[in-house]
Amino acid sequence: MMLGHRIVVALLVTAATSLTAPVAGTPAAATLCSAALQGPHVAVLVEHSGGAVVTGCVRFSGTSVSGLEALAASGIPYSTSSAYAGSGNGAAICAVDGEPLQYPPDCFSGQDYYWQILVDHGGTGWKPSSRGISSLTLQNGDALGLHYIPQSGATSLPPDPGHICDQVPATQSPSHAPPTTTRAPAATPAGNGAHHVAATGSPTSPSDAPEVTSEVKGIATSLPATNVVASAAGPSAGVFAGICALGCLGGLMAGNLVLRRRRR
Amino acid sequence: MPHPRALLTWSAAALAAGLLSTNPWHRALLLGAALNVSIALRRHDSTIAPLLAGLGFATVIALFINIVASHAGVHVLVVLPSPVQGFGGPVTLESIVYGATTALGIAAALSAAAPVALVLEGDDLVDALPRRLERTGAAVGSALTLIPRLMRSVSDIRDAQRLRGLPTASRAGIHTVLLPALLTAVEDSVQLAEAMEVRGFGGAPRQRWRSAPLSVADIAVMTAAVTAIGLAVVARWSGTLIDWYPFPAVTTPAVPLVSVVVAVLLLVPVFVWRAP
Repeated sequence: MMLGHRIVVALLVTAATSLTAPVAGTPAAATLCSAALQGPHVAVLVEHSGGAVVTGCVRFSGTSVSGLEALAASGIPYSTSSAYAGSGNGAAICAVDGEPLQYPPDCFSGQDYYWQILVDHGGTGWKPSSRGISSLTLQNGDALGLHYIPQSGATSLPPDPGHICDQVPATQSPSHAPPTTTRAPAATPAGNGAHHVAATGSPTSPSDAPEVTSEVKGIATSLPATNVVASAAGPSAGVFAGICALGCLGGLMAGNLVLRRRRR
Repeated sequence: MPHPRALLTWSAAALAAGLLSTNPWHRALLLGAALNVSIALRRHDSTIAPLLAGLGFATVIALFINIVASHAGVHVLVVLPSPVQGFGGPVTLESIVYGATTALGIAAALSAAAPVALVLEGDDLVDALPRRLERTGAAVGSALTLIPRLMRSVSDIRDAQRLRGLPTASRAGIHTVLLPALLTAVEDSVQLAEAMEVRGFGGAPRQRWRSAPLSVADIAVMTAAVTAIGLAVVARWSGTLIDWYPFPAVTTPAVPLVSVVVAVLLLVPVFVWRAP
């Protein structure tokens, strides 16, 4: 009987512990959510060209935070270019959350989509920012929006950011160190608790696609597999065919050279 | 013997197709096709060496500019000192790859235009112009022939001044070369104008001993060239032939099937034309 009691007590203690203690690696959402609402915070919302939405909530210390610092602290991968910084424009946003997968060295191709910067001051609705992301100032309750739109303009605004910080636990406070040129993204953006992907986009949008991850000097560079021309599995049959085609052209060239010499 | 208009059509199509995409496979395939045409069809008195030297020079320049001036990309190989604003800084694998891709594009464009100079004679080109542009073409062609003559003239005068013991390399000695070279160029121009006038230039429409009609081979080349550029434009417009950039991180570019087809179509001159 004593042994049976001990087993029953042990099982009850184990069950109680598993119900009350947070699972390792999964933060207690309620705790972080209340923490986000207690301190100054801004919401970050990214809407891809396919409609997929990525959100984040950033808690910060002080009275304001720049748009770039908020984006950096949100954990959403992004990259910028300093090609236009010489005229005082600050950083230009080249890619966010893996879209676009590639871009020219000066960031913009002049004919494709671009990242429109939007800001929502205290729930007044999205408005296009009159400042670049480096000089954009956000205060408690504001929201930063990034919308990948064509040069001809957007047909609609991103969804209301009002409840982002109610639903998503706040991430780390932004550091005030100067932002790096390329922000190293997390290997799995939706899985680190920093932000989440709402299932409103098309299934082929970059955020929904499986990712190809490569390590670069200890930094994980995450690229969506959509539009990746050669997957991480190695050179594809297309690459092999290209090498064969170039080889044929080279062989034909060598044959022509030999023929010309013989004719002389 | 290729018809000038057919070769000009081919050259324009190859040049336009090469500029349609930054995909390195696309550029490399078109470069290969264009080099094949130059090598197989060039005149016996022309050589491929200056073209290859130009391609090498363009490659070096494109790589150098991208290495010292472009610092985007995540794979930093080395950090160069920055004595001048804009130069120096991190050298990335991506900037080197982008420089190589740019060099491929320049090489493809040069190679597409090269057969016009390597296969055709100057008077063939003038003959290929529409009747309204004949006089303009003759004037431009004559002016272009003056450039190498001017270079030879400068070289001759410099040698002559050296023999006389006059300085030619210093700043003060430049005028001892430039002034006679300018006077020689003017004299050459006057002589050329007199020679053209004696031959009746401008008095009547240009006479041809025999007007060369388009052969079946010429028509085949023109058809293939127009089909190639049409295919490339449609592929570009439909999104099949897209640009490729190595930023932010290098990925393996896809081989566009349409580029292989375009390259094969641009190879048609090698098989249907014979070298002049």
